[in-house]
Amino acid sequence: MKLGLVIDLDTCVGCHGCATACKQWNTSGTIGPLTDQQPYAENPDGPWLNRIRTFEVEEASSSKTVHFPMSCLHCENADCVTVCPTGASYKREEDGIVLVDQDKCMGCNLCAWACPYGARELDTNQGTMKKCTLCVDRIYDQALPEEDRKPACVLTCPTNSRLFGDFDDPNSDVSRAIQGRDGGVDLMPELGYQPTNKYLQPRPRKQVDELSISNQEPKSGLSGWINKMIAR
Amino acid sequence: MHPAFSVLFFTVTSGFGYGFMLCLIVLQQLGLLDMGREEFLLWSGVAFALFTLGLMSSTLHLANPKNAWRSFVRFRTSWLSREGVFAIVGYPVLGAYVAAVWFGQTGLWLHVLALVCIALILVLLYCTAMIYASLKTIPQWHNKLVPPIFLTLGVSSGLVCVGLAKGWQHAELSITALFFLGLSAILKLQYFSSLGKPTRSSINTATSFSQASVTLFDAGHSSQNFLQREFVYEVGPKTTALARKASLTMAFLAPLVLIALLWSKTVTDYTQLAAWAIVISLYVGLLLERWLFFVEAKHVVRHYYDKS
Repeated sequence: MKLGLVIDLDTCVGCHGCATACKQWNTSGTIGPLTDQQPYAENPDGPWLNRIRTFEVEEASSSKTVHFPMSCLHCENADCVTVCPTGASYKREEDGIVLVDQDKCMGCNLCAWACPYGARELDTNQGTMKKCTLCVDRIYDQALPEEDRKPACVLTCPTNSRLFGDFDDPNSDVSRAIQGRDGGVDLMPELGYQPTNKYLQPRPRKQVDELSISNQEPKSGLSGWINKMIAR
Repeated sequence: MHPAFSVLFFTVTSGFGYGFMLCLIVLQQLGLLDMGREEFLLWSGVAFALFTLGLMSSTLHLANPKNAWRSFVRFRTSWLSREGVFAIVGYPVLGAYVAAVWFGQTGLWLHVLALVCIALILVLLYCTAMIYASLKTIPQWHNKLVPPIFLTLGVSSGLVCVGLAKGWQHAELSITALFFLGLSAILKLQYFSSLGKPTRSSINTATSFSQASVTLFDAGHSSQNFLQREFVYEVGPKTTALARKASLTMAFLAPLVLIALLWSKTVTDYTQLAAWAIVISLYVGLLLERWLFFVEAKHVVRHYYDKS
């Protein structure tokens, strides 16, 4: 099994619901608590296992704003695991999930240094490294109804931009999602980490010819007069 | 990269300690040391104190030091683990050599023990360098010049300590020190010039939009987070340029000039003072060099915050 996520940059609206749901679930999960320092003060601070940044992507014909959620990509070549001196960081044989054993971590930060995706954050309250667990304490929970055995971020996403499944299974949600979208893309492939999580780039938009708009004949009559009055 | 003082102090001080011990053993084996057993014990004690202080300092940046004993587990893949294991192995092995000299032991086995000690110290210096050089996420550290720089700087540090202990009376010592300091300076200059080269990763490879102009619109959080504190440590170009000059002057130029002056016997008074000045200048210069090593290291996570 090769469990991971597919994140669709086309449909993500940047609501931060996945990050909030992640924090809510994992603060009482196997690696919890994810406590914040000064949560209601001017500079709240604390570990988040999922962060959403927003980029402006300017291309010749289609500029767009892209919301970019990032959590652990559960890499095939996870250097965060090999640099760990204590054996706290490990990648599970059975499903490829990368985890930190909170009882073994000594908080040396080396795994965070080895991660190109900023997926690991030190919890200064506990002195240990925190990262996405792919909600390992949820996806295997037999007490939950089967449709709820998914990571918190995936379940909460209002636009279905986050999909969870087994990449080794060609019929899983994630495998089918990437099939129609050129297999999805890897982030920073040049470093050779071979991330499991795939991103789907925005689909090409209908091109709008800017010249054709600006060269339109000015309207006459009342609407022409209004256009003239409100023109900047 | 955020330069934690405990890590700067660790790499420089343990480099001094291990380099000093290495030079004491090599020079003694070559019959060039000319030290009585009391004197050898004293200066070995100084070397032990230096690398022990350094190693203790390295545990200060741990957020959860009670688990530090576990760091010997991942010997097979982790350079940090290897450093820890060899550091622990170093105590009985180096201690055995010092004890053998104290008890006046001679013979083939002492030469074999000396070779083991020398190899162990070189491996330790290499491990320290590889903790940084093995990280593909930091192009300025993932640089083939980093291990030779750590090795030559360790040897140079050891030689100036021997100079302090012996008062720079032997021409061989001066020549060797000039050679290793000069070599370190050349490697370091080459390293500085290699930092100007473009790196493979960019905001385009980080976000997968290879053909577009990508800028950060919103970082998603209102205050500084762990990633920014650790990886986005900004120092102005003027400060960096000044620190480069200062570190090159203090770590290399000043010691080279002073050693050359002592060697040529133009300065015969104040020899002891000059020997102290060489050690202190190199030590402070290397602390500055290590600070720069962190400050000029640009982790690829910076691309997600639109910093190159």
